[in-house]
Amino acid sequence: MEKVVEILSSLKSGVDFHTAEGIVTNKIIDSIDIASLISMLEDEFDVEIGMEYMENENFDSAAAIWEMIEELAEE
Amino acid sequence: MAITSVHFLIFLCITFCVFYCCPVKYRWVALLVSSIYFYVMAGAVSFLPFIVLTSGVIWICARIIGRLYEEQDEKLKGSDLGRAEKKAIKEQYKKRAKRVLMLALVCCVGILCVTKFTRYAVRYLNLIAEAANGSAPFSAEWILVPLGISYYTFSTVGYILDVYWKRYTYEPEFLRFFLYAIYFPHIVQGPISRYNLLGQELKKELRFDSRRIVFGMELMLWGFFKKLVIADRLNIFVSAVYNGEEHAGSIYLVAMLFDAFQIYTDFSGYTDIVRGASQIFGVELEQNFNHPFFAKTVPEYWRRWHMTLGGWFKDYVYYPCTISHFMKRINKRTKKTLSERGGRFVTVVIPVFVTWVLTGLWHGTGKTYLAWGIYYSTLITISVAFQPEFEKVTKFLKIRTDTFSWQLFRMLRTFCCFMGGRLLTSPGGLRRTLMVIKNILLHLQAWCLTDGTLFTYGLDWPQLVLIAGSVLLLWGVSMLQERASVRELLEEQNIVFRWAVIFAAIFSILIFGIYGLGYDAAAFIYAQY
Repeated sequence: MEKVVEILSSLKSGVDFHTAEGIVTNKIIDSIDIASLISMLEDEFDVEIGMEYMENENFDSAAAIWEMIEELAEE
Repeated sequence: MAITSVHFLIFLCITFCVFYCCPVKYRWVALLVSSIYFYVMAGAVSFLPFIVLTSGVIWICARIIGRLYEEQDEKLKGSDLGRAEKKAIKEQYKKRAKRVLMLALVCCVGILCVTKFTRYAVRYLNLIAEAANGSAPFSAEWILVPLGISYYTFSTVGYILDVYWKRYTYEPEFLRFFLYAIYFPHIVQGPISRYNLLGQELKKELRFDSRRIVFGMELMLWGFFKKLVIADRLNIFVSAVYNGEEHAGSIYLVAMLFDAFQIYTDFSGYTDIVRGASQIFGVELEQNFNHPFFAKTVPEYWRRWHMTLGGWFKDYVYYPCTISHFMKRINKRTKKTLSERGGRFVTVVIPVFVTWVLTGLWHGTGKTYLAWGIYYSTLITISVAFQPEFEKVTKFLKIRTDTFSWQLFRMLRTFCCFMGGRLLTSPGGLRRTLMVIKNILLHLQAWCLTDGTLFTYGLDWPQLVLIAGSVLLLWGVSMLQERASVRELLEEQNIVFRWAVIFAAIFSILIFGIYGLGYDAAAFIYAQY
C-alpha cells in the first residue's frame, strides 16, 4: 500500500493519499492522471489492469487501488 | 414536432394525463407508446426500422454475452478445477463473448458510419467525377439519417460494452430496453444516458409527486428562457454575420462572443427542457452541463460541457485505448528510448489524439471537424504535458495563484480557447474561418461598434440591452447554482413570491421570446448530430 501512495504522490503533490478518499469522484486526479497511474501500477506490481476494473470505485483511494492490485495478483 | 413548439406542449399534456391515469405497473408502457409517437412525429416513420434494428441487435447480442458469462460462472462454481484450468475456461468464454460483441459493434457502428459518412463520400466522388468527366453522376438524396442516430447508437453501444466488461448484467426484456433507447426526452439530442442509470430509473415505480412535477416545470421554464429569449435572439446576429459577405473584424469578434453564448444557451436550454419534462414523469436524466464557462482549464471545460458525451468517450474510447496492448508496447518502448517522462507523454498524447479526433467526427464529417478535433487534442496535450513548465513560469513571474484575479484570468483564457474552437466550425468552412481571422487581424475597424453598423445585423439596441440583461441573469443564476439548488431555494420562499417568480418567467418568455405564428424557432444546433 505504501508503494501505491508513493506512486499517487508522484502524480499529484500536496495531497495526503494515506487518508484521501474520493480522489477520482472529487476530481483530485483526472482521467489523464489515471492513464499514467495505470502504466506505473502495471510496471510496479507486474499486473494487467483490464477494462473490467476501470471504474471510479477501484481508483477512489489508495486503499481501493491496493485492494484491486491484490485481487489482480490473485488471478 | 420541435421541442419548443406548441405541438410538443400539447403532446406533453396528453402524455401526462395518460401516464398518470395508467396503473403504476403499466406507466412505462405509456412512456414507450408516447416515445414511439414522438419519434415518428419529430422524425419520420421511415426512421423507425433503424432504431428497432440497432436496439434489437444490441439487445440480442448483450443477452448472448450475458448468458455466456452465466454459463462460465456455472462451470467455475463448485468445481475442483486448478488455477490454470479456470483461467483457460475464462479465456475461452471471453473469446466467444468478444466475437458476439464485435458482431454487434460492426453492425450498429456500421449503420451509424454509413448514414453519417456516405453523403460526404458521395460529395467527394462527385468532385472527382466532375473533374474527370464534367458531370456529377452520384446522388446522396436516398440516404436517410435517422433522427438521433448518434445518440441512441452511443447509448446502446455503451450498454453492450458494460455487459461485456461485466459492469452489470443484461436486460431480459426487449421492450424495456427499447424504451431506454427511444425514450422521448433524450432521443433527439441526448443526454447520452447510461443503461445502469436511465434503465433503472425507468424500472422504478413512477408515482405522482407534485413537488417533483413543479420542479420539472420550473426547469423546463428555465430551458425555454435560455433557448427562446437568449439563444434564438443571438442566432439572428450570428447567422447574419456568418452567412453574409465579409464584415469588419470587430463585427466578427462580437459574432464570436455571441456565438459562444448562443450554443451554450441553445444546448443547455434544450437539456433543461428535456430533463424537466422527464422529471414530470419521475425519471431523472443525467446532468449534461455544469456551468462550463466557469472552467479554469480546457480539460475541466470538457468535464463541464456536454458531460455525457465526454464521459462516453472517456469510458469507451479513451480508457480502452490507454490500456490496450498496443499502447502498453509503445509506452515501454518510448520509456526505454526516451525517458520516463517521454513514455508518459506518449501514453497521454496518442489516446487523447484518438479520442478528440473521434469526438470531432462525431460532431460532423469533413476537414472542419477534423481540425476541431486536432485543435482540442493539441490544447489538452499541451496543458497536460507541459504542466511542470507552466508551474515554473508562474513561480518565476511571482504570480499569486490564490487570488480572484488569477482565477478570473484562467476562466477568460479557457473561454477564449472555446471561442477559438467555435471559430473553426461556425463560419461554415475552413476558408471562411481564415477569412474571419484575417479580418480580425487586418481589418478590425473598431468604429463599427459605435457608428451604428452593429445594429444592422438584425438586432437593434433595445434587443442588445435585453441580451445583456438576460446574460447577466444567466450568470447570476449560474453563480447561485454553483452553491445551491435554485429550485430548492425558491421552494423555501413564501408561496406568493414563488409563484410570482414562475409567472414572471412565463411572461418574460411570452413577451421576449423569439417565436410566434409563422415563426419557426431556430433548430437546436446539436440535433444535427
